Amino acid sequence: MPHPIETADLSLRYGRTEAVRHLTMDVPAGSVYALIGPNGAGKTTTIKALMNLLRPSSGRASVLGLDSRRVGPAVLQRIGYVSENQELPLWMTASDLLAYCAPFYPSWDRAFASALAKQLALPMDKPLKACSRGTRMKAALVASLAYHPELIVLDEPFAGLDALVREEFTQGILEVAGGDRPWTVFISSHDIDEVERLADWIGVINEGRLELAETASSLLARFRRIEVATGSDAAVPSPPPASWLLAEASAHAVRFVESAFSDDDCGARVRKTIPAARDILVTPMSLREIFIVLARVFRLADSQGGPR
Amino acid sequence: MSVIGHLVWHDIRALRLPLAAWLLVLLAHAAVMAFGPGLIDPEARRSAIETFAGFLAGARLAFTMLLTVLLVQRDSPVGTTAFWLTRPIQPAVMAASKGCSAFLVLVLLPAAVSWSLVTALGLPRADVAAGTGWVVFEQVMIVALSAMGAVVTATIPQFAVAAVIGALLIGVATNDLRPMLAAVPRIPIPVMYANVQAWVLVTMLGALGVTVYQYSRRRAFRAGAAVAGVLLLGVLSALVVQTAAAPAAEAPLRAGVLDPSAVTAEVESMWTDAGITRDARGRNVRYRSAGGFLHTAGAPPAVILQPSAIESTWTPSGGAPIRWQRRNPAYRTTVDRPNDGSGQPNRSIAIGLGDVDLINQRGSATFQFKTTLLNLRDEDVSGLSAAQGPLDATLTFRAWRYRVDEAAPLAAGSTVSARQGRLAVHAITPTPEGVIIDLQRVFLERNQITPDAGLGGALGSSEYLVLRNQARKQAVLAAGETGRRIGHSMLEWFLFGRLGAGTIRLHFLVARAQGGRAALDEDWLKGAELVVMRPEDLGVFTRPLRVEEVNLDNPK
Repeated sequence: MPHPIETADLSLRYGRTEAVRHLTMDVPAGSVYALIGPNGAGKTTTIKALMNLLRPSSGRASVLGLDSRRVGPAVLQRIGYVSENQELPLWMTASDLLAYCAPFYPSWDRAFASALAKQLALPMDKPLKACSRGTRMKAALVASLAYHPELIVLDEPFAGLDALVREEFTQGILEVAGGDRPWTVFISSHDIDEVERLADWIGVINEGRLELAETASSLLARFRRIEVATGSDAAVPSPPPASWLLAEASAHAVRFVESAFSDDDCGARVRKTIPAARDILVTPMSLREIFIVLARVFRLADSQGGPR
Repeated sequence: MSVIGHLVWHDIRALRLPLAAWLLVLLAHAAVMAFGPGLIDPEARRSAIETFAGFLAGARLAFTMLLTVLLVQRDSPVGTTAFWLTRPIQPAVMAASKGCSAFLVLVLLPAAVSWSLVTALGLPRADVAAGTGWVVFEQVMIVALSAMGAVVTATIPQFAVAAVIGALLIGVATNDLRPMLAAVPRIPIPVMYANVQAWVLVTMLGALGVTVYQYSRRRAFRAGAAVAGVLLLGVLSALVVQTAAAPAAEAPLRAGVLDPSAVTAEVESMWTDAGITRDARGRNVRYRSAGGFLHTAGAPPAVILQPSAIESTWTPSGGAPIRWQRRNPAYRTTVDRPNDGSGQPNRSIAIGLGDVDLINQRGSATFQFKTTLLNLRDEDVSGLSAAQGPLDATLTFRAWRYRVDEAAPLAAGSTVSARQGRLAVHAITPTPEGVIIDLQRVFLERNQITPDAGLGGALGSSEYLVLRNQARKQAVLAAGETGRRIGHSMLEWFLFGRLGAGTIRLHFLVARAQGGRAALDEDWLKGAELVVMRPEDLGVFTRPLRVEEVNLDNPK
């Protein structure tokens, strides 16, 4: 079965700016795949290329088995799309919006739409222009899920939402993703906390390049913050092992982030590199912490122009 | 409901407030057309209602443009954020729905209002159809141009900037291209009667093409360049097309009207002239010409003979004969000569009215036809050793006479159709000098060259309005008129005519010197009719003309 989203060497330029650079990515069917990265990393541009809103400069992308440049009404009937940038028809009420969208989708499920709206506490009769940003996003979500799309594409859906709405929104996505239908969710965000709850696959994009892509569990398993206490003056070995990130030394300790952590041989590997090691403190990292470390590493590498 | 219908319905719902305002403007304009004339003093310099009507015409134009932009830009093909772009809607379906919405509210609705209005106001059926057609045409044109701008811009301010740039581009291109194209051969297109038609055709087809392209490909930059190209091409087409003026109908002379062989023609008061004129391509050309007032005899008194074409052969001494010819509609110059004219058109009118006594004859001008015999380029004449010699010509005469076109009793509410439109008698005011009749009118004035205008254009008016009392065998010609009008069309200069309403005040004066012959008293007026006299074409025939000496040596 092909992946719902595949890109191969995808690049996209705006004039002289290369917003997406040689991006190769596969989004497995049934996964909740989060594309995370700092602002301006190329997340939205990638999604626009997938949705045929922008034309790739080179490379290729396919969505639900079809070249992204040919994504049209037939494929859009199978995709639910919510974006912070999308211009909703604000003169409509949520009820109007659902009535407007329904005829475009043969699989529109009125009962499901009502249930979702109720679950998200969506006010149906209030014009969207009078609603908060969160309510508008919820309306867009219901209008994008009510026809049981195979692929849900969410572009920065949490931006500007308060905690309660964010929770409701996330719950809505989790419920459909955890249901009995084969939903695939592709979500771009720089809101790492929400992504951590949702995603089972993580892709990290920076300056248009996909820096890593793997399952969330594997990512969380291989990153650890490590502090090594030494008896004498501590020093970062030169060169440090490639898996050590942001290594630094203070009076009697060396600190770094291990990006290839393994319970089995961590201690032995550290002691081999730092023979003076006395105590080794290993701390698990959240996705947010991992992302921040990676972002700092990317920035450092970019400023030095060297490899990562 | 189809997807197109669904989208149209939501367009109309989304724009319900501006559409309500649009409907209000249409109805207000119609109301001003219908009731405005009653509020206008025909002799006033300008009334508030005329100003208001002008404002409403401007509002119609502005609303048509604004609504087109709102319709297009609410589902814009520009950018990547429009809601419809990520919904399963075919671009062609979206474009078609926009076309349907625009047609429905910006073409059909004003056309329906105009049709109802001019029908209710009593315009003849043919004029109702033509006037409604003009409204459709101008709405379609504005919508097409606005849509072309709206599909390459994302916001109203952007559209406004594009519209200004477009207007400047057309203006600059027209001025700058014209001299460059002076030497380019014209492309004759027989079905075109005005250059602006070529502009409209090319621009509207281009607008359609750009709109369809932008919806299907969504490449705003390329589409913007195409818009500029369409505007330039439109100007270019208007400048290189050779239009064909509508030829006057030239039926042969009707049998029994007159004996052509009995008709004689001679030239009185010869004149010569020299000057500079512009040719069809706008270049200055020096010329010399000769002409005179034409005197004819041998036609029945009811018939007027108007020269409509001439073929001349001039033989300057010592030189080869030079041939020259001119045909309708150029050859139509006339002059009023009240004192030494042929007595026409009064005789023809009096006979047409049933041999009545025209009691204000001295108040109306009579005429003779001022005839050009020869018109040559200066370069063709200046090389001659002596530019003097006889001229033999074949003149084509058009014969016509006045007849009663329509007559209605002189009473408030009576109506007649005249060139000025459908006229309804509003008030009849006897004065010591004569009678003043106030008419309200609804009109469709055509500015195209027509056979009828070909006749009438030579006379200043092809038609006379007359008060006739059949029992007394007397009639009075309208001696003057004043009036005000309210325009209904937005782009009259584009439409070769005007659609509107207004007032006319006709003055039927009886000269004091003839006061003893008739008095337009209450009894006279009771039995009177308002009569429209129009020319009746009787056909053409030719006659020879000889001028012994035409001297172009020293033209004055």
